[in-house]
Formats: sequence, C-alpha cells, structure tokens
Amino acid sequence: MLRYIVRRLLWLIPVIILVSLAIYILMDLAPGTVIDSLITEQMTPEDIEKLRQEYDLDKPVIYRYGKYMWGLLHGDLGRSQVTGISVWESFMTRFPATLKLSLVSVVIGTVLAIPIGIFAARRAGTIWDNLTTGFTLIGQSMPSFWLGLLLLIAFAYKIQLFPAGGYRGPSSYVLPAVTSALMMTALTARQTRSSMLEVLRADYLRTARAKGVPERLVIRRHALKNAWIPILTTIGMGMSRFLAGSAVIETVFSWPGIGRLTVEAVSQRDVTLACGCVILTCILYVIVLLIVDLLYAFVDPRIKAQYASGGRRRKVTA
Amino acid sequence: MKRVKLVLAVILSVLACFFLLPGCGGEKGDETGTGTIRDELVVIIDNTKIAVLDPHNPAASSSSTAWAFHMIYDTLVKEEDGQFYPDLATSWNTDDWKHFTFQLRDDVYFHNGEKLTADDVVFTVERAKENPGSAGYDKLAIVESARAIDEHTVELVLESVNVEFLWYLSDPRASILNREAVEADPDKGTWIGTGAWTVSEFASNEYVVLEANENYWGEKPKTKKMTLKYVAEESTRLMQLENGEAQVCFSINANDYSYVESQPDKFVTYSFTTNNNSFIAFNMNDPICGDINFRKAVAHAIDREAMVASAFNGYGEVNTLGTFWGYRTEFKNTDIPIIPRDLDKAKEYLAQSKYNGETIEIVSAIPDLIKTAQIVQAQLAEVGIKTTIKETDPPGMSAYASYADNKAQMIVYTASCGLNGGSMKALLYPYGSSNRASYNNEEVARLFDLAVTQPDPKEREATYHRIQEIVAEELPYINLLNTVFLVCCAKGVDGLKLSNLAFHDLTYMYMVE
Repeated sequence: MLRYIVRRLLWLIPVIILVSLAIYILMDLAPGTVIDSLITEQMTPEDIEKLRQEYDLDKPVIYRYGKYMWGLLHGDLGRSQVTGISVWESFMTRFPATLKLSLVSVVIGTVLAIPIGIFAARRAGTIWDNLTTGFTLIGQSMPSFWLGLLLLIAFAYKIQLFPAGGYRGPSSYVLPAVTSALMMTALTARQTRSSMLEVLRADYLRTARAKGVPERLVIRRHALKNAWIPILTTIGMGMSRFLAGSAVIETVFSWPGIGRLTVEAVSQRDVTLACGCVILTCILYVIVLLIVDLLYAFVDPRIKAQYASGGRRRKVTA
Repeated sequence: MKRVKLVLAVILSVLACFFLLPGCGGEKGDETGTGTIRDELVVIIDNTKIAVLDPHNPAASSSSTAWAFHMIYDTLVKEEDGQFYPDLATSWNTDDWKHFTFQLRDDVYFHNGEKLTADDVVFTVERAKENPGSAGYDKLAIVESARAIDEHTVELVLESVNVEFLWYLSDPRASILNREAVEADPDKGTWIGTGAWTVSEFASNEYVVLEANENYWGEKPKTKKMTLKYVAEESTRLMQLENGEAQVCFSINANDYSYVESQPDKFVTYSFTTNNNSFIAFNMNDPICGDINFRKAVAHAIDREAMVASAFNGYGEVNTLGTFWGYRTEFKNTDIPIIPRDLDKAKEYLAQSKYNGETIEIVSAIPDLIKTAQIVQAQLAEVGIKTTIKETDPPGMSAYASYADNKAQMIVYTASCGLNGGSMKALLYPYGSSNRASYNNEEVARLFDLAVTQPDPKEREATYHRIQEIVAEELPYINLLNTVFLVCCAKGVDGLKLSNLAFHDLTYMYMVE
C-alpha cells in the first residue's frame, strides 16, 4: 500500500510542472502585467523600467518560470508580486475557512444525499422516484450564486436567522455550506440511486431476502456496502472541488476563502500568487483523491487485497 | 428503527444548538443600551479593499487603505480645505521651498511604546524612497535628503523647489513609521503607528480589526473597536446593514440608493462627490482621434445628463465646465465654457475631420464606465460615427492605453485627481501614469514645472489657469462627470469626516444607540 501511496504522490511532480507552466504562459498572454497596477503619479519612465526589471518582465516568460520553479524546488512558493506577502502565508490565512466550509458542506451533502438516493432506488419507477430525480435535477441546474442570494434574502434578510455573510461563528457556516452542499447532494443522490439500483437487483440480495433477512438489514449491510465505491468517489470529488474554493460562493457570502484569493491574483496579474494557489490546490486535490482511494480498501476487501499484493494487479477504479 | 430515530434526533439537536444559539446571542454582546455609545462598529469599505498595512507597499494605494492609515498613523502636517495644520510637527519653516525644517511633538509614542523621534521621520522618508511604485514613494520621492537635527527636529531637503510639498506630507500614505518596529519585523512592523487606533487583526483584502489607542496623544476615539471589512457581493452589503451586522457601508449599489434614502428612520446617508473625473480620452497619436475636428465633433455629440441618468442611476455630477481639472482640485479655471451638445455642429466638425466612416474602437473598463461607453457609442452613432467597444479590466487598460505605447483610439475611463494642481500632471504631463491620451504639449509641461516653483498663489493660479486653457483648446480629454457616492450608516452614526479626496477620516466615528 505504501508503494501505491508513494507512486500516487510522485504523480504530483509532473502535474505541478504542467499546471504551473500553463498558468505562467496563460497569464503572460493576458493583457497587462502586475506593474500596470503599481504605476503611480510621480514615477518616471526610468522608475517604471526599473520596476519591470525588478519583476523580470524584461526577460522571456520561460526565464521567469524557471526562476519560479527553482524557488519551488527549494520549498519557496515566493511572495505575492502585489502585496509582498508570502504566498504560503496568504494561502494559509484563508485555507482554514475553506477547509471548515468544505467539511461542513460535505457532511451536509452526504447526510442528505445518501438517504435520498436509497429512498429513490427502493421506489424506482414510482412517483417518489420521479420527485427525487426532479429535486436532484433542480439542485444540479440551479446556479449557486442565485441559490445563495435566495437563501440570503430568506434566512438573513427576511427571517434574520443567520448572518448575511462573513466568517464569524458557527451560524455563519449554515447558508454557504447549504448552498455548496445542495449541488453535491444532487450529484451524490443520483450516484447513490444508480449504484443502489444495480446492487438491489443482484442475486445475493434476493437470496438474503428469501432467507428472511429484514429489509433494512438487507439495505444497510448488503446493498449499501457494495454500492459504496462510486458514492465515495462522488463525495471525494465534491470535497476536492470544495477545497479548491468557490469564488462565487465566497463572493456571495463574503467568505474569506482561497477561491477568491486565486481569482483576485489572476485579475491583478499576480502570477506568483496565482501559481502558488493553484499548485497548493492541486496538491490538496491529489491528497483527497488518494484518501478516497485508500478508503476503498476499507469498504471493499477485494481492493484491500490488491493493495496488499503490491499493486501487481491494477486496482478497480470507480 | 427507534434507535436510528433517537440518534438522528440527538444529531439534529446538537446541530441546532451549534448553529442557532451563537447566531442569537453573539452580535448583541457588544451593545451598551439606548443612549449610549456603541463599543464596536463594523464598516463595510468600498470596492478598493485593504491589501496591505504598509504605506510604502505598492498595493497600498487604494482609498480604503488610506482610511485605515488615517486611523493607525499620523502625518507631520494635516490639511483641511487647502490649509495646513500641525499634526506630528508642531511647526515648520522654509525660506526657499526647498529646505524644510519640522519641529516634532515630544509627547508622542508609537503603539509599541517607542517615543517618536526625528530619526523615525528620516527612516520613513528613506524607506519610502526605496519603494518605487508605492504611494509613499509618490509623496516622498521628491525629498533629496532627510536629516535629524536633534531628537525632535528634522530637516528635509527637496530635489528642487516645490511649493506643493505640504500637500504630499499631509497625505495619509506619507505617515510616519517606527524604525525599530519595522526593522525588527519588516512584515508586521508597519502596523505600528502613532495614531488613535491600533491594529489587532488583519487579513489581506478581507478585513482589519482596530482597537482604540488608550495612550493616544490627541483626542481619543469614542468607539472602542472598529472593523473595516470588504464585502464582495453588493446585495449582501445592504443586507448586513439592514440586519445590524454592519453599521456603516461605503459601497451600497447605486440601485439601492433611493431605497436607503427613503428609510430615514433606519439610515443616515452622506453623499460624496468624487474628485476623480470620468472622461473620454483621445489617443493624440491616432490619425483620426489626433484630429481636433474629430474631437470637437465628439464633444458636440455627447449628452452627459443621459450618461448620469442611465449609467449612474442619477448619482453623478454632470460636468458643466470646459476645463479638464479635478472636481475640487485647487485653481480650477471656472471661466472656460463647456462645449454644448449640438448635433448639427458635431456633423459639421465631422465633415471637416479625417474621419471617413471607419469604426473607432472605444476601450473601457469597470462596469459603470463600460455602460457609459455604450451610451457614448449610441450618441456618436447619431452623428454618424461608427464605434466598437473593447472591454478590459484595469491592468488590461494600463497595458493597452499607456502613454508610451497607446494602442487605443478612444478611452472611456476614470483617473485619480489630487487636490493640488500638480497632481493633474498624471493626466497631462508626458509619461504621466494616467495620461491615457498620450498628450504631449511642451508648453503645458513647462507650465506644470513652473507652477510648483511659484510660492505666490496668484501667480500659481495664473499658471494653472493657462494650462487649463491650452488643454481645453486641444481637447485631449472630454470631462464627462464625477460620480456621487452615498455613504449609508445606521441611524445614530456620527463623527464621520468626509474628505475632499476619497480619503475619509473614520477616526472619531461613533454610534449612539
């Protein structure tokens, strides 16, 4: 299993190289540079040229990229070109808010999605199934900024039950977490439904029922256990997406997360900060997916056996 | 099944306590009762955000950063309606407007307990000069040398005579820092000032929490704690104000102004007209826009009232003068008449111009100004000028329409105008940072250089008036309007000192409940 973890982590290296290169090139192609927002009243053309040299803007993009990667190789993510604050510090100042919101969203999303998915699968083809499918469809298609604003108007403005944005106390998590979670709920519920439908038709469940095993035990112990892998994958993907931050939800709810930090960095042409944020997000993404992969082993003994065999056989992917 | 229900009930109860109870009690904790001054104020700042608390950092040029600087630091002198008063300096003198001597107060302490000395002033000037691109550099770069004569006397020698130097010194970005604090911690040492408020918490581009400085040398604030925070979504700002989560908001959506003004029992509003001009700039190097007849045709074709009504919801001061000068910038020439809207004249000038039906590109950035550009486009179409709009963002604008490499034809944009006449150099002087027109007139440049050497206000006035006359004749810019902002406060808020620039002073703001 250790070999498998190491191999997955090593994949991070090419991912980081490609992602950072893409950011450097794309931001170089965008009009304007970081110094365009730094030019002030009294600056002479010489001052501006000096600033350009300071930021290596007089050199080709590949030189700047190489310099950045050299720093990265030494564990230095650099400093924001606009504020001068260390990229690591900027990221870590906002990461706790994003992490907490992601966890709460995933919990809410999972707690809602799995029962809904099981409920729909057990009543497949009935009006209840259609209703839940409709609900998940609405959840998936509703734009998060619109849903967020509706929730704000209802629960922060009209009823005044929760604060209208901000990151102060547990009550401030409710509306942004529910907004994020609803999208995930829709996806996970649909996934749960389809996974359960496959399993519910299996022979061993019919056998279990024939042997007189109560229905709730059939579902919980036999059906759900075998349907877990695709559900787990959907939850993992949701968690990864939340950890990357959502600029839209963070904007609507004034949430100081990393999504907005990244967007602001791009709009200010702060390539060091943008690159740092994306690299750290990539690392988080890979770690979460790795954890999900490892969780497969706990859910499915067959996968555990594959890990134990040193990966001689490819693991089953969801 | 019963066990499952029980477990679910327990989980839901815990969640309810976790989420709801703090929401019920948390915000009320700071309230002090009717008729008393509220301990804490939450202020929603404008869209400029507070990126850093360091006057010598290039990211510290926003107006809301200047509000924080007003509270955290002090300057040597302070300005009010063009007059200068002592602040950290009790007195100053100069014989030639090149050598200045400042006598400092001897009872001022920084937030870290260090006493203010002349060496701190020297350190501040030297540090500012090392950081080109920062607003602090902008204000202090003209100082050639700074020298501590004794513990409380400092001499500043300028590179050349500049009668507007006190304007720069009174800017909050020219505030005095503490050498020891900054040298000990270059990142957070700049949070230490001598001002009425101390920094207790800061998250870049999000919020700064300030606490009243009990040891302040001047008048102490009435409020104990103030949070200046950025709220990205406009509709959320109004909700936070309505809910009582914030007491002051500087950035309500213009669509909500009339609603807020119609609720006098809930809100107090202060209107503020920005000194910055929203304008049309013509690239003077462009074959068509460089033609004065074309520029005059455009000037006669535009209807400013329509722009204010449509793009700014009526909240804008329509420009009524022919001069291109800041709204309240000193020595404004009010004798230059505006070019009136006259479609016949516009067509006449157009016929005499080099325009032959080409599509002219209008570049713009920022949503309200993009709307303005669309109105300009419609108005120019009335006289037969075809245009297309290129939308960009502020860095894109700077790259596209810079003095030296101007790829634009017409630009609908805004620029910062200071209160001193010399600040207009940014728009009208060769290589000026906001010279979107790539305007280069040797006589104008010479007059700008002359003005800052003229101590006599009458002479200076004549010089600046002449500059404005030349610019009005050449028309590199058409001044459209100045935006009106509404500061919305919960009822009971007072003590806000609006600045003639956007550098408002929140130091003594309080709220009576």
